[in-house]
Amino acid sequence: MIRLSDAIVIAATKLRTHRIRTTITIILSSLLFAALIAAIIITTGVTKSVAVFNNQGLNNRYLVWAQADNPLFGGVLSTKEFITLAQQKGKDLIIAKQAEAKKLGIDYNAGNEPSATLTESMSGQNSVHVNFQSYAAIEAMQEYVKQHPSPDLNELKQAAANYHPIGFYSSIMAGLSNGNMSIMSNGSENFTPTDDQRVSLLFPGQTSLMVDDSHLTQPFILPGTTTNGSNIPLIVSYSTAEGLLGLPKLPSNASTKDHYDRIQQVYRQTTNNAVTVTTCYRNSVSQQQIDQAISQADEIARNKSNKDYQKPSLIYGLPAANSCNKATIISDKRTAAEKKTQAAQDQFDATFGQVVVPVQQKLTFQVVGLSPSTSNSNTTFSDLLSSIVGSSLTDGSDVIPADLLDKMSTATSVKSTLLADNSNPLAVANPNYYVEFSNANDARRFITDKSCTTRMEGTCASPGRLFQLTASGNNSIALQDLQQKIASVLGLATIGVVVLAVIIMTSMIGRTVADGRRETAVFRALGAKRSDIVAIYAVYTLCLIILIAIISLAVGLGAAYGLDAYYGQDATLQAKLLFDAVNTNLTFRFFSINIALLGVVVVIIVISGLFSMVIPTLRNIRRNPIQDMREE
Amino acid sequence: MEQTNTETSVANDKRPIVVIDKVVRSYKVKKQTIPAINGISLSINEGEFVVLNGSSGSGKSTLLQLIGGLDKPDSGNITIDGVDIKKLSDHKLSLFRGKTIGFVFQFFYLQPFLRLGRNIEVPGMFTRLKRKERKLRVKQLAEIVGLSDRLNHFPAELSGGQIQRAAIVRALLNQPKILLADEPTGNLDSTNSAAIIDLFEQIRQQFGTTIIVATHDPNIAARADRIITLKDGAII
Ligand SMILES: Nc1ncnc2c1ncn2[C@@H]1O[C@H](COP(=O)(O)OP(=O)(O)OP(=O)(O)O)[C@@H](O)[C@H]1O
Ligand SMILES: [Mg+2]
Repeated sequence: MIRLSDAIVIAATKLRTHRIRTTITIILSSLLFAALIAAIIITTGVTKSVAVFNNQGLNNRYLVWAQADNPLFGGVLSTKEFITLAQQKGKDLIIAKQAEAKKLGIDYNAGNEPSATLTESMSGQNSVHVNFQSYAAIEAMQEYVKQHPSPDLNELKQAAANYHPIGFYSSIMAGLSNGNMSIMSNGSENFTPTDDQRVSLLFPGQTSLMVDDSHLTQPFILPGTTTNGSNIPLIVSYSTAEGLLGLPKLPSNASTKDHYDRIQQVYRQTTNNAVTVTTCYRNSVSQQQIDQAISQADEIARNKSNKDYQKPSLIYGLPAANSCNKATIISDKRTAAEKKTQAAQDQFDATFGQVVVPVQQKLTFQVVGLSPSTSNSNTTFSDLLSSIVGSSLTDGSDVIPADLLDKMSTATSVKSTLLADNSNPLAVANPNYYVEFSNANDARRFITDKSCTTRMEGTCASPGRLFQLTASGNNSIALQDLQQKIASVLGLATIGVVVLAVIIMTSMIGRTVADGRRETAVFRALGAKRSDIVAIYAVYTLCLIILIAIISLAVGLGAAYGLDAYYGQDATLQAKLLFDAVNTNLTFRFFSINIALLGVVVVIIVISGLFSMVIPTLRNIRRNPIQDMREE
Repeated sequence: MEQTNTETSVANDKRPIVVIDKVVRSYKVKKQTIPAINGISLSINEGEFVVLNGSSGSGKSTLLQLIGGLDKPDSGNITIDGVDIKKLSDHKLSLFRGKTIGFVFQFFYLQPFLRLGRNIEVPGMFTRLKRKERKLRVKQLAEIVGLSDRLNHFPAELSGGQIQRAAIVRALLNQPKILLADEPTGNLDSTNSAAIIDLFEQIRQQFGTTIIVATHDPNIAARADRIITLKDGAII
């Protein structure tokens, strides 16, 4: 066969023969492949950058949130069995109350006792419901729950055993069910909190207060923070911390840089100073007495000139605003008999589930950790990023690290306040657990195999599916899915580009070969074998391909580099903002070269080029050279 | 015959180098069969200078192509230098063509983007002739046709006569035993034509090459050892 060097000499004449056509083909094909190369470099860069930022916080961990259903869910409460139980409890309660009232010597009118069940007439049909207002119903629920305990941690461990779990962590919602907490701003209590303030358990915008395992909280703890032993350690979001520091909200048109500077400022200030917030917790009785003190003072003031007005026999007063003490008693003119009756009534109420003793406690929280705000984003880019990544453990809740809570000198009393059980079993949330896995696959398999999904049908009771399970804490699993999706999209794009490029190159090479028919015929007359002709066109195609590969690489790299140079800095800020990665010098880059992947693209270019050559060349060498020579 | 009987001893032996035996080659055009070569038998000796003559469409080019192995007969045998070329595979036939046959065309067919030297080298590329040897032969051949100073020129920079001389020495690069030329002077003026005819003569004398030329040119016919006239695919 013809020598390579000779084939190159002849192939070069073909490149020069159809300059415009060749140039257009090279440019079109190069642009196609360049776009592919740029896409690969950019997605590699983005994926890598996301992964780097993802190592922040809880990201890059594979956590599955698990919670057993409340055994009362799933239609249990409307079963005949439960209605019967509730009705029985109602009867028993009246008997017990009557006996207790008799013993304590107080009046009790069974007629006022709320019925355990209510009958409702709906479209001619009577249906019986549990009356949640009745203590009998609560007792019935308590008994039912005792008989049907929720699956516990051990059962969770059993369920997860086959999926290689590497940790089980608990996350308990702080109770505060019988009262509320309000911030003592400037150290003094606001005795008339607005409804809004009452409803919120803690700081504005936060919906719950959690006590979480240190394995979950550790990534968010600020370096070097210590508490004095009586402050309750707390992890808050950046935006909450911003509020606690008294920093004014940034205007909506603030730049990325402004936002970034702000979170840096928040980070610095919370790291360098002990940021504390003092609250006053009051249970319902304590709050009731405070409310009473206010309304009584009001009433007395209003009736100052009314001679007929008779002051209440028991008058409450407000405690010192900075004390968080219970209401004072200004005057108590009740007779001994009245007091005795009240005491007996209190004892009676307490026996049947009512809170009668005021409880209040000054609770000082200290910020020991910061978690990303739900959204710092002010651009579509960061919106996009935050939907991909972003650590969601602390979404909407402030978190107390369990280990630090245990180290407090006042741990017991704080826990009894924060983790008080709710007497209504329906309102009790089962403990949240997090099961950690070392990879997304295990986590995903665990969820698909073991999660109870259709709660209303009561399938949680179906064997082996005892817990609600969701990927949680971060989007590592989603991120992996996204990476796979990107890979498949890139794969499709590659196919598209290859098909287009092959069409372009085939038609171009086809025409060149067709135009070279007479030359082929002459060469054949001069002794060229078919293989020589194939070799010449193969070398010609290779020259084209090498040019295309070089140009595509140059243009693709250039485009990705340009994007990186142009947007990289802003993206870094955005990403830092999003991940609140203040104490890092991570950069977000759109540019990352995966040599293996680019090698694959080059191989694809070569193969598609050679493929483009096959058909025209085969058709050409099958031709009769004489015929081609005759065509003038 | 006397005048060709020069230094070449082979010519004296009158060894037949081209033997054509009852060859038929017809073309089918729209259900009509045109017998381009209609049962020709013919023998040409080594070193002979033969002119194929005859009116247009008489089958001259077809016969040349059959001899050169570019085409195959429908029936009959063609033996070139002792080889029955009908039996050769396409690959072997190409090798045979490269080594044994030199082709010259009416329209020259030089590659326009190759310099003259390179153009002449082309047949050597297909026979894998060593680069050094190729250059040497190009140099020698160029001297014969007076193109030594033109080897670095592109065909477009040369005259028709120069191009055809280059095309002829290109055909000689592999030192073929047979030179086939189809209307080599068809595109040249009389001066250039005369030069080409002289060149054939010189080639034959210098290399003992068998030369078969299809032409209407009476000036060539006048210098031939033998004139074979075709009519409707047959010798008359
Ligand atoms: N490829 C082909 N297909 C169909 N017919 C052909 C083909 N080649 C040659 N012929 C026919 O065969 C006959 C002989 O053609 P050929 O080219 O050999 O003639 P020629 O003597 O060389 O003519 P000219 O002097 O015009 O070159 C003609 O009738 C021609 O039309
Ligand atoms: Mg002809």
